[in-house]
Amino acid sequence: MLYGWVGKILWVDLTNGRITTEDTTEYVPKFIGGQGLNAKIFWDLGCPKVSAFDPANPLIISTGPLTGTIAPGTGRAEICSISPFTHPKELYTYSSFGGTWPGAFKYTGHDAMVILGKADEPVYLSIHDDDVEIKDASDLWGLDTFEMQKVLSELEPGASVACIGPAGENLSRTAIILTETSHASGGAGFGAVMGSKNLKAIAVKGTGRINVARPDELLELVRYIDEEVGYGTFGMLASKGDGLIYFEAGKRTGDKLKKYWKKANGCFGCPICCEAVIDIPGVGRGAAMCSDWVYAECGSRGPGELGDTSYYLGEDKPTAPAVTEKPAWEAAILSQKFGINNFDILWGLTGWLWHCYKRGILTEEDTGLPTPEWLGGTAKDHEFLTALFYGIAYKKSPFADGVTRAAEHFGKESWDVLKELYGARGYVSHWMDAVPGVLHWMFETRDPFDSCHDYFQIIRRPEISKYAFGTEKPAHSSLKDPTKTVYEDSEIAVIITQHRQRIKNSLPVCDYAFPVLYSKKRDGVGDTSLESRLYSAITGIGLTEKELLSVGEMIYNLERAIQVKRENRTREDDAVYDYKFKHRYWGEESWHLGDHWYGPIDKEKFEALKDKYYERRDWDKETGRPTRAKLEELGLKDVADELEKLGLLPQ
Amino acid sequence: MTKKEVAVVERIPRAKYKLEVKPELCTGCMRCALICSLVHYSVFSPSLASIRIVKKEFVLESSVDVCRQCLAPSCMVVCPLGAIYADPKTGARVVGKDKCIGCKLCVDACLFGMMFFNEEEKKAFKCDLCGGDPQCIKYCPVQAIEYVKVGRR
Repeated sequence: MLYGWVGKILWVDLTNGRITTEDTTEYVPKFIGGQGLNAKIFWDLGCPKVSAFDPANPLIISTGPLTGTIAPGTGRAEICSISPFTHPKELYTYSSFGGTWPGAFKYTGHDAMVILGKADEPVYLSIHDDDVEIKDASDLWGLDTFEMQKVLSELEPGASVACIGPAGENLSRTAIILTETSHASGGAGFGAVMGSKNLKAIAVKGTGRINVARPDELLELVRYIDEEVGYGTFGMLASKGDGLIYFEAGKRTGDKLKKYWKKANGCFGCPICCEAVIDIPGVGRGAAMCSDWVYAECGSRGPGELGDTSYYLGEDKPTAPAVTEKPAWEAAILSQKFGINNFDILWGLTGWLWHCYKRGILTEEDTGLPTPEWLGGTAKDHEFLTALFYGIAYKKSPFADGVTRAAEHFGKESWDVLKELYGARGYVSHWMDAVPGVLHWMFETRDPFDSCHDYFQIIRRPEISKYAFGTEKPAHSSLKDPTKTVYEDSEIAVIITQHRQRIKNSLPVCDYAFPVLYSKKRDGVGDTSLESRLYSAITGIGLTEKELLSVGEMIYNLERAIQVKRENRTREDDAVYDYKFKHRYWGEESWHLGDHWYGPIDKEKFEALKDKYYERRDWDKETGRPTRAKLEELGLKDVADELEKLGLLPQ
Repeated sequence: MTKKEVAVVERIPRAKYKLEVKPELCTGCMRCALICSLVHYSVFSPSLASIRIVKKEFVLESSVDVCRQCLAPSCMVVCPLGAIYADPKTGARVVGKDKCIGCKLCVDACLFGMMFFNEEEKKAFKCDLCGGDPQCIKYCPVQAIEYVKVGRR
């Protein structure tokens, strides 16, 4: 009997309407699920060198063996595809989402689905157990994401719906795939990939079952995690239903938001229920987490010299007018309804606009946006937000394809500002204030901090770093740490974290919950064996923590092989925007250190660190590519053969 | 009800306990349903659970349904084999698996849709209050389910 997995992978070709299934056991247990399974499917499809909007670009959506069970933080699905968002090249990358949908999908009896082709007319996918239908959605095209779910709740009662809004339909490169009011696959523009396939929504409802190998062991483990260890990053920061209101919206706005707090919300099977359901009359009802609040920071944290640290510290004398709770919430609701990635827009765009306006690079005439108070104008936030999101969703604005492409459009000066605030590949800086963070960014295809907040748990905690990586030094890796050991052993922390990240996205488990490096409940080291123990209890396949990490290494190498084969990736591509090597730049660690400024990073020391990274990975230092020896050691001989045939294997 | 049925009902011991839910708190996480199916059928399957959650996802509201442990339980009244009995400890109306022949009369009779059918076993199933220790309560992360004593009417 198959435990954990439910046995089938669904293949849908929208061009000819052909629907087939394949046994999951063709791929598992070796590739586990989620990101690992997706990588294998993409590799087997030949890593198509097509654009993101080409019908041949597969949209691969996978759950994992843990999804749909009672194990905490596992109600997630991982999407992989060629991303229209990454810049300048469209890269094969990943983006995950939670909510009820992933669990509900798995109960249809499918572990994953691969969507290929392009429908002639708008359609939606209806999956009720084995009954899979491509249904007409011509009348539904144009609906926002909330309306779409409402309509499908009548057409497909009891089904969970993941859908796109106008932004996805109109191929905005910053479009998301949304389920519920705030669970989105947002970081890779996959909403536009769905739009390019004329696929409006996927509705799932199932009566299936998931077998579990050792239920008693699982329940004991669930109790142990919940009561004795607690959860990783989120466990440190907040509690049930908190939605990171104070952490991200700041004390002033957060206090007011509390008035509108209704209840906790969370994902399938998860007891953490991290989201806050907020209902503000006249604005809307929805659940929210960190990125939904970032608009609250505009004006009080314009990312610059005038940024107001007191905002976070709860002091009484803010230096800039804060955005109040209603516009902050309206920004979140509007972005979700239109189906727009609010992290890029609300976090990235607002900071970039602030600088461009202050430095006189851009004006209202250039952007076509009414200037709100926090930018020094008189327009209401409502006017600004409506104009902004409308322009993006209907491709009527320079921001329609995200901030990076807008900066490119406006010319060199605005592009230079972008490089101050953005990290690499078109993604806004996100935890680039410590050396491992920056190093991690270099080797990825996107902002990796959707699923490696682990570093947060080791800051200033040598004993936790020692436990997590076998070395204390990464605890002092902040770019302004006085101990000056910031560059040492960072490559060790990065490699281990990259492997944990692959495991995290394959089982899958939630980034906020796992790994538990630091346990708040114990005020000391956590327990990094939890993932492997959950996996073993559910699937019955005994894997130690170390063995599971080596699976993570295998997945990482397979992804690298995809990048080498499809994108001709070399050492030169392992980079972040050079601004960070030349100037001080704005970071996020202010919560801990009360100062925004970091760097510049020492370029020479960093290149030396990259050497160490490749050496430790047994990759070729010159090209940054995996060697035959390494690939064979990881059970990827066929991958090595293929790369050799193409002349892409290092000599 | 016919006189005969009234006589049957009068002989049924009242339920001493039942579950009460607060749907306004429910996050729709399904943990109650998952533990229910695990305890009773050793698998995870919301469709084999006796507690039913439907989440209206776009407004984040859930409907939560549990057996009312009725005073005059139509499931017990219609069962031709008397396979449904009151648990002596809790008074919960319980399907006796040995006697159930899978005729589904009880499924049709339940006014609340809280009698279900296991297609594999060909037997009806419903909430049995876990013999007085309801597991769903333990696994609800937001205390939306309560185990309460049935009051006098």
